[in-house]
Amino acid sequence: MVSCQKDTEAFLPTEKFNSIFDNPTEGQNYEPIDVAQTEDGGYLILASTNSNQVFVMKVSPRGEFIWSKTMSSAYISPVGNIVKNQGNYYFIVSTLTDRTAVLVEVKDFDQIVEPLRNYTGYRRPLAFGYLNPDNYLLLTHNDTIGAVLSKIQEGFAMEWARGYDEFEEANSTLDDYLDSNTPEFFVGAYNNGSNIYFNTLRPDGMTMTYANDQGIETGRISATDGDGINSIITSNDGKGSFNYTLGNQSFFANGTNLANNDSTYISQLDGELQPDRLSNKKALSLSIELSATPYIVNAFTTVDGRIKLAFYSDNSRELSAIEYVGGNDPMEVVKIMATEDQGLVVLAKIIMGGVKQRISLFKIPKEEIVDLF
Amino acid sequence: MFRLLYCLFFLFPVFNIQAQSTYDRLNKNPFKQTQWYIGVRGGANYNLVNPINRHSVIKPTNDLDEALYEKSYQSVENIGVIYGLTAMFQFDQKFVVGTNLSINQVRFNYLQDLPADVNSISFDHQHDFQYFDVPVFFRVMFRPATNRFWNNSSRKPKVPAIIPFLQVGLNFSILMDAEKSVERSISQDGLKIQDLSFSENVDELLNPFTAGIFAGGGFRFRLGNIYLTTEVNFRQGFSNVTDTERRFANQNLIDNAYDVFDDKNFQSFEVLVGILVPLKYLSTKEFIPIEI
Repeated sequence: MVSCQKDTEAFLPTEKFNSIFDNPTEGQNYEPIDVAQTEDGGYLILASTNSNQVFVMKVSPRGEFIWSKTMSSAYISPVGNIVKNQGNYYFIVSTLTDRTAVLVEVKDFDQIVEPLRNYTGYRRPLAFGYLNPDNYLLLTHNDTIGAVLSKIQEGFAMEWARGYDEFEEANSTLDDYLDSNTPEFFVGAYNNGSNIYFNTLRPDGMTMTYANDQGIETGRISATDGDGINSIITSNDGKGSFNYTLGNQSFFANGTNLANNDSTYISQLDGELQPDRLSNKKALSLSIELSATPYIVNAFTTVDGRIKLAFYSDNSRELSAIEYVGGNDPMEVVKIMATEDQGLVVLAKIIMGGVKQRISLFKIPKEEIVDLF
Repeated sequence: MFRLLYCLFFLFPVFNIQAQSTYDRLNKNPFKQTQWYIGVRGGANYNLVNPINRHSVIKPTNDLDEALYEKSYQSVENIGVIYGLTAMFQFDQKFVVGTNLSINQVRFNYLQDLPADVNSISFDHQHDFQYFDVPVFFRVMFRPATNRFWNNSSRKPKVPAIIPFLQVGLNFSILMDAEKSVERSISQDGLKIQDLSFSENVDELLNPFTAGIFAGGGFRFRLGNIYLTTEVNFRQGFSNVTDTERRFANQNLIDNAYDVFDDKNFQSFEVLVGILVPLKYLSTKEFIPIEI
């Protein structure tokens, strides 16, 4: 029959793309870490190589390769998030010699990636993020006291730093924990920086700590053994959505009151079981708005190696739509991000043919998301 | 002698009047001065792909490696078939206009590799598209111009038995069906295994209408009251066969073959043999066709 009608939605190339970035060097693999949308509509991807080097790549709004830089081997173990300040982009790495936290500046236009500032004495960075649009939070793991939270000002000077525990052999304890677990370290804030949260290893186990705007602890959600919170998104109405693992099972607690002044246990989150989630891989949430209706997107890696995007109404908290992404080769979600044109960009890791661990970046346009409902 | 002269003087005009009548009947009737033909034709084509803009799911992490991931269009296994009907109108001894209604099979394939010294992945993409072609063409036949009028002895004008011709035309194609098959092979330490194979209909990824031009030549042979034609044409598409707005529409191809179509048009060489049957006859009883 003559083919004149088409059932699928049409998209301009800028609205939808799918990219996998390969390197022909034998044995070269990548661990994607974060992605940020740049001012020109393109994307900046942060990754580490299998030799733990820092790799930064810029791609166009259509997902095409633009430029890349691999930093000197003197800098290792990049951590997200990528933050933006006055047209440039920043993230944190460690020095090879003593794991000192180093701020790295990315000048997109000039294609320059260079260390900008050493936070001497603040070692083993675990997470970096916004306190508010002008200030940042740095979570490190000091080798004598464990978790240290620092406020970084707009000019990247450190304003304050808080330690939390007496933590003997903090470094080796974290190393031992990482040998048998895959925890997620993160830091962030809500209510325009009035409330801070961070997730890291504390003496009793992985703990999500609440703090005030000076970093003073106000509450916590504790976990033991290999349990822990994987991700959180917060809203200004004092609620949050949590992905967490408990007893080797995965849960999603959507719209839970943020008990930032209480000390609770992870079991009290009372989330919904996610039986198809691979519990030792990332799970992330994101608030989006479609046609003036707010939704929560929960993304995780499924047991069959695909990425599941579950869309929940932010009003009713009911599951509204599901989208699976991925094929024969296993994929793992790393980051989901709303784009300026209300699409979704997903940064993922893909293992091609069982031999090549690569960075995948794809965009789902708004129209395709709307069609899911 | 007188009687003989008398007969010649009076009877010649009679014969002349009779010859004039045949002359008028056969040669001055405009209907007899053109010819229509219908026929069938079939043959093979050899197709080449001309990429306009390259697109790929697989991209480099270094600008020096960019060319590694371009599709490598192959020059083998690109032979398809073409067959259908033809209709022509000869309005002059040397000029013909015509059209064809043809099914045109376009086959092509490309390889895409994720290279490495020891562990590499390669994809083999085979395509089989079917188009319904409606070309219009203008044909010039190389033959001596002869008096198309029958001579006074009422003998048929002499038309060469073999006439070479050249032709040019516009081609309009409607997509009927597009199938694609993909095979993936993984090479590890010198051992190559095929680990994935599947086929997909890819109609939705292509423009339903395309156009192009063609030029070629051939010969027309007279076989009794019909004609055998042989022709060789070169076709050049000038519109993009890929639907740019649906490049990412086939999720299975993207997820498992990491494939999206380049923008491209086709070039092809085709060899055809046809039979032409004239539609206008001098005598329907004896099937004597008009030859001009």
